[in-house]
Amino acid sequence: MNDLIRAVADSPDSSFYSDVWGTARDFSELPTVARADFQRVPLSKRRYKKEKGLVKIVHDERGAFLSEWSFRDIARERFGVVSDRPFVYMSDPHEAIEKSMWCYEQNMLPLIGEKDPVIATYAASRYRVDSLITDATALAALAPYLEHRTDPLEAITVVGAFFPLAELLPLRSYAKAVRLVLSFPETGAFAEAALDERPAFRAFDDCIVEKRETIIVSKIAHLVTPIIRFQTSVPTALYDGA
Amino acid sequence: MMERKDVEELGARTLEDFLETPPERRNSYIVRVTSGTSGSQPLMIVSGFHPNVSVDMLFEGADRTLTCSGSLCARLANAWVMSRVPDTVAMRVMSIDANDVTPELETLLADYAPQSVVGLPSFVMRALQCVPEVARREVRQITCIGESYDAYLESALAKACPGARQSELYMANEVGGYIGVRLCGFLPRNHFHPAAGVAIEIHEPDSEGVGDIVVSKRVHYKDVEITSYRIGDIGRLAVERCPCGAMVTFALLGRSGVDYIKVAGALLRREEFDRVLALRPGLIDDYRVDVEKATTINAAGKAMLRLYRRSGPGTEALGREIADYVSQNVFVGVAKTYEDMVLLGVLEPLAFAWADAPFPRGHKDIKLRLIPAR
Repeated sequence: MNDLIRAVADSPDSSFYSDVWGTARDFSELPTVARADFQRVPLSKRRYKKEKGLVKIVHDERGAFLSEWSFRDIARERFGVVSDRPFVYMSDPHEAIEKSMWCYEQNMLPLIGEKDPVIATYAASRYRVDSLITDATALAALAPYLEHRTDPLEAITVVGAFFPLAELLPLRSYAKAVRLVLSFPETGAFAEAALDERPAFRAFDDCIVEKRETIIVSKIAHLVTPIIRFQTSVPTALYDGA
Repeated sequence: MMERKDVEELGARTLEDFLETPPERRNSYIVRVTSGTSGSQPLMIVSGFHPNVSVDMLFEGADRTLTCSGSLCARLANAWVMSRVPDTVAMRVMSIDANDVTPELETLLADYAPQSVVGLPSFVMRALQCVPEVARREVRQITCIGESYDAYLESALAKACPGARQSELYMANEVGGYIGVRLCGFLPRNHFHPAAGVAIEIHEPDSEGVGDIVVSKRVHYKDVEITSYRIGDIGRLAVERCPCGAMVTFALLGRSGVDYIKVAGALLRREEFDRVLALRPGLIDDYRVDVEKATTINAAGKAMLRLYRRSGPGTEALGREIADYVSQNVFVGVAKTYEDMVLLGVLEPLAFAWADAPFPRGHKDIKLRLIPAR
């Protein structure tokens, strides 16, 4: 992390973080950033590297902003599990494309679910999908399909920051394993938990999670817009399984 | 001759084969799913990335590409193609759909400043309206895919991005990707050279050379071949050789039964009716053309022009005047108007009728339709 901080502070490509940090360079003393900073500063002013990749639009009630991810960085994320025939069905098309590219980077051939659940689940049946990457909002549309499957999926991964347990717990009947992955479009995945009545999240090895009233996340990887002391809206109580 | 059901079966075979014996490099393929709007269930096919489909076809070496498409499969395919450029090339792609067109998009696109725009031409035009003029001047390539577009839209795109070259790609998911390309800079709109590895024929061309487009190509999943597939579009082969040196050029004239109806040897094209009526704005607010199916081989073709005005039906004399104007100016052959065909006995005089209510609009704004003989 210190190497990343130095590289970011000295970067000729952007002053996004150095403008926030001032002279601070010690990790624990660095001021936090949040989504509002990403909304305030255009993508072109917070790009710290140039690699081939995707640019996503992140829609937020306080304002849309752009988030860029290189294909190499997408490959390092933990959006799903490796399976033979993954099915990606997300409520946000930008996230669906990113998660599908993650599958490709793991040498999987994903089925990306079109918005119409009738078409998506028809294709899922034909393709005999064996795993699912989704989010809590999109899941409602898949319920009839999941209920009618004769075999359990290898895994269901629910990605995001919204995990309504009452709606998610029944998923355990439809898959051998159900993972909850904490992720924001601009941070990528940073922690996971197995689905149960009180899921307790555990940070991924290359992520640093600090617990205040809400979670602050940092990622060691040098991303296009690095994530260094990013203040999330995830309550620590939720993170700890309260 | 393969018809759609044959291609559906072939697509199903590629899927079954993939399920039984998946290839080692699975990420070299894509699962294409049609939308099913052709009146049948969605078609699925596993196709590969053709090595001769260069990234330049889509992105023209641009650092920042914007794609405009509603289909998630199409958007993923563009990202997939981008991911295969060498690591030393720092190209980026942003893909949007109609839900992204909000007031905030202008600020985002001003920052992103696309140099290349790819997608449905009508949606591309809509997206470009969200790009500030200063940024639009930096656009150097507009690649239109997925629908044919008319001269008006071509002009509007050129006006929006005066520095951009317009190119087209003709593709169909059910055949695993690209069929034709207009990239050489010499071809007019809706004219293509066959894509690499594709053979194009015109089935049963009439005296003007117009007939069904028939496609043969490899799907690139274990070299599965599509042979002589009647794709549902109508076209014509060009006689002259293109200055770029390509041996074959074909014109895409439209979707059979939607943009183009053949009747008794004449070709009624929606684009022609649009063009002629656009020259006399204010006459009517909408129109439809009903073409009767011929009951015998030598019967003269019959068509009725149905007219609608928000202010109410016009007089008999006005309707006759409009029908005569259309008949005298709509070309239904290379050098023959509707009126010419009436004089030759190929068509009956163009009938007309005033509509009392607006025409219903569906998923596609279909203005020409084939109806049973009365």
